[in-house]
Amino acid sequence: MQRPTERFSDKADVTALLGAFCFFLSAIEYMLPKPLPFMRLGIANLPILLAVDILPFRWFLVLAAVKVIGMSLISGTLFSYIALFSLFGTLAAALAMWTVRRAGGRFVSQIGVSVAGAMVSNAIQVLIARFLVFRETAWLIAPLFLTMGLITGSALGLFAEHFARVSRWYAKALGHSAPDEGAMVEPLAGGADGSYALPSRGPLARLSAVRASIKENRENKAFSDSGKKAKTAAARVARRAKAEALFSPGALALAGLLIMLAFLSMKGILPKTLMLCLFVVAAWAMGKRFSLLVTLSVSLGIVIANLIVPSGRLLTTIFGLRITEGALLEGIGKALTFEGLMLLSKASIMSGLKLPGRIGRIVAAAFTYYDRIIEYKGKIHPASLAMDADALMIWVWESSETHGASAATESAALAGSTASIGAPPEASGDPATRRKGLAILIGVSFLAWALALYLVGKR
Amino acid sequence: MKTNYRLKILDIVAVLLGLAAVLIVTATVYSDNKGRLMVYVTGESGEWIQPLDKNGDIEVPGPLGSTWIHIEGNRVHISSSPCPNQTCVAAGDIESANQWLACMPNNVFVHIEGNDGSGGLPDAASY
Repeated sequence: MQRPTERFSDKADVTALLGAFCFFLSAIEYMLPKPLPFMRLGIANLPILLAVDILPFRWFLVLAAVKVIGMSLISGTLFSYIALFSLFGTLAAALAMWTVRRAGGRFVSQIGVSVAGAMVSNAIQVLIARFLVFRETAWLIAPLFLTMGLITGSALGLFAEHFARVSRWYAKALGHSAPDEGAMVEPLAGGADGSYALPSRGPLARLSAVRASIKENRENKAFSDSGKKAKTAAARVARRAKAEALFSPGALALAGLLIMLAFLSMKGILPKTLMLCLFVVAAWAMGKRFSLLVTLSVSLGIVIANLIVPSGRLLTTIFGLRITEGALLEGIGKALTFEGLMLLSKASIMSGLKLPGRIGRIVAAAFTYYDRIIEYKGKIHPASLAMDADALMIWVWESSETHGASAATESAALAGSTASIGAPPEASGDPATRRKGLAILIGVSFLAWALALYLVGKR
Repeated sequence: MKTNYRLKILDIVAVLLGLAAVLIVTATVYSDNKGRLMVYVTGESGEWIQPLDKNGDIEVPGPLGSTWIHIEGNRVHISSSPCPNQTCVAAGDIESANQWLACMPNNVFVHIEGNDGSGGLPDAASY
C-alpha cells in the first residue's frame, strides 16, 4: 500500500478523485430545481476551486477537461450545445481562478477566486448563448446571469474557504498536518472480498444509521406507490439492455457524430422537425430518460427569446409581443437544433464508451471513484456539510487504496475500465447481434446524409 | 472548531468588480435596447419589422409588383421598385431615427424608429 503522502504526489490519481467529485456534484445540481433551464449554481466547480492550490497548472487543466468530458458522458450531452457551454464556461472559469489565485497570493482567499471564476464563466456562457441560441436577446439575460454568478460564486467561495480549513483530506493533499486530528473518522477496514464494513461507532456509524432509516422509509413509500412507474422504469431498462447488446458503444458514438454533422447541415423547419422526431424515437428505443415537458418548455423559451427582437413580416401581436415571421422561424430552427442535438447525444452516448488517450484513462479512473462515491453509505447533513463531505472524500480515497486500486488511474487503464457512469466493462454482445447493430447504424447514418445532401441540392 | 475568518483585500475587490460588472452590463443592455433602431416597412399586404443592424432584403408586394428594400451596414434603401419614376430608388440610404422613404405608386412606406440620440427630424422623402 502506498503511504498517503506518496499517493498525493500521484497527480493523475488526485485529478481522478477530484473529477469524480465534479461528476457527483453535477449530478446533485441536476436534481436541484432551477429558476431557468440554463441557470446553474456551479457547485460542480467546487473541486476545481479546491484544486487551484493542490494541482500544478497542467493537471489543473486536465481536471477541467475531465469534468467537461465526464459530465457530458453522464448527462449524454457530449454532442450538444450544452457540452460547448460547459467546455468554454469551465475552461474560462479555471483559467480565471488560476490567474487570480497566483496573482493574488495571500491577499486573496477562495471567495475572491470563486467570484472571479463564476463571473468569467457566466459571461462566456452568455456570449455563446448570443451566437448559438438566443440572438441579441441573450444580452437581456446577461444581468441576471452575472448577478447569479456573483451570488453563487460568493457562496461557493465561502464554502470552499470553510472546507479548506476543516478538511483533513485537503490538508493532506497540501502536505500539511490535518486539522483537528482528534475528530478524524475511523479508517475503514477492507474485507478480503473487497467489501467495506462501516465502523460500529463514531461519526460514520451515526451517519450510516440515519441513512439506513431514511432508506427504509423511502423503500416503504416506494412499495406503496403504484406499480406504473416501476413498470415504465423496467421497460426502459429492458430497452437499454437490448440496445447495449445490439450496439457497440464506440460504433454508436461514431454514428451519432456522423448524424450530428448531417443534422447541423440541414436547413429548414420541416427536415429538422423530422429529424427531431427520429431522435426522440431513438432516445426512447435506447432506454434513455428524457422529459417531453422539459423539452417543450426549453424550446418555448428559446422561441420566445428570439421573438423579443422582431425580424420580418409582422404576423400578429400577443400581449404586446410582436410576432414576426423571420424571428419565429429563426427561434423554431434554433430550438429544433438545440433539442435535436440534445436528444441525438442522449441516444448515441451509451455506457461503456471508452475514451482514448491519457485523459480518457483519467476520466475512466474518475468514474471508478464515482462508483465509490455512489456506494458511500454515510449521510451528508446540511449543518455539518463540510465535515461530512470531507469524511466522504477520505472514505473514497482510502477505500480505493485498500481496495487494491491505490492508483485508480492504473487500475482503470489496466482493467480497460470505461469512462461511463456506473457502467460495467463494455458488454460484448454476441457477434451476430453486433453485426446487425452495425448494419443498422451504417444504414441510419447513410440515410441521414442522403437527406442532408438532397436538401443541399434543392437549395 | 474555529471557522470565522475575514475577507481579504482581493476578495473585496473581486466582489466589487463583479458588482460593477453587473451594474454596467445592466445599464448598457437596457439603454442599448431602448436605443436600437428598427426599420418599419408598411405595404398593402402587411407590415415588416427588422433591426437596422441586421443585414437583409425585404420583398414587399404592392399593386404594381414587388418593391425590394435592402438593409446593410446600418443603412436602408429601396433597391428596386416597379414604379415608373424610380424616385424612391434614387432617394438613396436612410440611417437615422425618424427618417423615411416612400414609394407612393406601389403603396410602400419605409421608416426608421428608435432612440439613437440624434433627435433628428424627418429629412428624406421621395415620391
